[in-house]
Amino acid sequence: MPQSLQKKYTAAWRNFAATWLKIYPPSRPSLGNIMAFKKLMFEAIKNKNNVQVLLLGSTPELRDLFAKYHQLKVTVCDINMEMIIAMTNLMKRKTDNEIWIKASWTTAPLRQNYYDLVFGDFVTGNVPRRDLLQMYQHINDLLKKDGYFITRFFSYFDKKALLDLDKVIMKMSQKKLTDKVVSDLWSFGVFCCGSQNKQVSADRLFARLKFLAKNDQKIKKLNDATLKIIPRHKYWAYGYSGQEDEKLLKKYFVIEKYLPDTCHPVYRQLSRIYKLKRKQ
Amino acid sequence: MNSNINWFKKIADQWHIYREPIIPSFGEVALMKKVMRTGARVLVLGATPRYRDLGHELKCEVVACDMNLEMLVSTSRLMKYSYKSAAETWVIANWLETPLKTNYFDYILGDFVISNIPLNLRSQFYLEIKRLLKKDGLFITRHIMLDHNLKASAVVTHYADQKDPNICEFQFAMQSVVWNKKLKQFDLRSVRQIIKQMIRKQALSNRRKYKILYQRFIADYPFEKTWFQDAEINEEKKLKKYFQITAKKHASDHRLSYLCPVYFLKKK
Repeated sequence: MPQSLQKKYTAAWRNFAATWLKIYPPSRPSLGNIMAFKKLMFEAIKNKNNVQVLLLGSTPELRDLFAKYHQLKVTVCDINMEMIIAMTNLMKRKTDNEIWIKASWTTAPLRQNYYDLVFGDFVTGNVPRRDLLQMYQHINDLLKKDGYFITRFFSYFDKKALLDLDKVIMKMSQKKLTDKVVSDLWSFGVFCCGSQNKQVSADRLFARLKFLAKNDQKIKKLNDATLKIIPRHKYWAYGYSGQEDEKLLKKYFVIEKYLPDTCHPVYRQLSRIYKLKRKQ
Repeated sequence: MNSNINWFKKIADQWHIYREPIIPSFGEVALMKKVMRTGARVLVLGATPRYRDLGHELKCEVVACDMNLEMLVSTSRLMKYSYKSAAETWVIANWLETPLKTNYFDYILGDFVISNIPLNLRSQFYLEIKRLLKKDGLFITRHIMLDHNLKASAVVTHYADQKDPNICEFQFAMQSVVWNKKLKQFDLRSVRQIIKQMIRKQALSNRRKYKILYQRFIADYPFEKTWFQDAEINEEKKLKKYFQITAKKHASDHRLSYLCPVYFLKKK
């Protein structure tokens, strides 16, 4: 990945780690999501004892889930060590069962045919579209023949579910200003209001907030609070239809099953938790 | 491996004061550079800044594997190419079971890494190195040798007499003296006793320099850490079971280089 592209997609996480505590589901996995991950995980590892798990990213909720089970040997792979450290501090369970690797998801020099499970939470949006197939290929290479890629996956499965940005801002500005409101503004205002050039970023939200804040004190306050939490100039590769996204997935995986994202009615239509079997 | 890993923090905090032979000399790094090609894939076992710099100098893909993150973070600041540490792949894992790709590395660099591994785990370690190395790859490592001619009193007196003794050199020289043949370990805790006894034997006027040496030694040395070492002949015998020793070279830019040869090992 060229450095400029890497900066656009990953550098923001370095600063963002500190504010992760102020983020709420759907942008972080909810308890319901974790239960769904757990269900799919146990379906995938039936009767296996030593299970090698690769986690793309350092999501603390997933690592807490893994930490409950001693048969899981976990490798945490993130491009920023700062993120791994910050997320570790947010874990509720202590574990010695993790190996950390600071590397890119598309090129990490990891052992092939080694992992029973690869996990991710909204990982695909963090990879530029041009590198997505490379990442799928890489995950495919790392998985054992009977391995699974289990991931929460955001896509425009149902474009009718997309929201109007101004309405989202107005709705949030009417609520009492809390971290949860700002987090929701991120979850809905950035990801669920359509894309520009098949990319989403908070910059569009900030521009709109700035414009609307001119005549509205509540929006101004919302804007100020948002600036402190939501990463600027960070891009996600979203904006493709569910069909387009699944077509790419099917090149490397068999979609064995998916569960709906139960975080929120809007996310139910735009996000799924997939259980993907490695394609031979 | 060493279960007590508090010593890591001490080493990480003090890395900047370490000198040769505790850290590889430029002469030893140059020996390595001679056989390495540019653009290769290099795995550094540990966080040794000079080895990582060597990798960057040769425009290699550098992967550093250490059990402790602090070591990698603190030593990055000491690198000549510290700005390139962001581009390195870091693996926080035990060397005996890394999740790294098989047959991937052209060079695996280690600095006294073998002595970190208990003797009963050496086979597992060597097999892991073999797994990671390409067919024609090289495992290049400095390894501790013993000088059985060294005598405790002579070594202590030599360094106590110096105005500004190289404490790293002193520690290294004392390893030969306090090597426990039975346990196959270095018993550096006993160095404290040795110096204390020598202090008692000195005339009052002469004690100060020994006390200074003692203080400096206990301030720097990570006593919680154990180093494992067999006799040279046995060490090489075991190495030869897994590797072909293509060369064994000594640099000449520090006094104890004869005790830390650089081994160039090709997998069998």
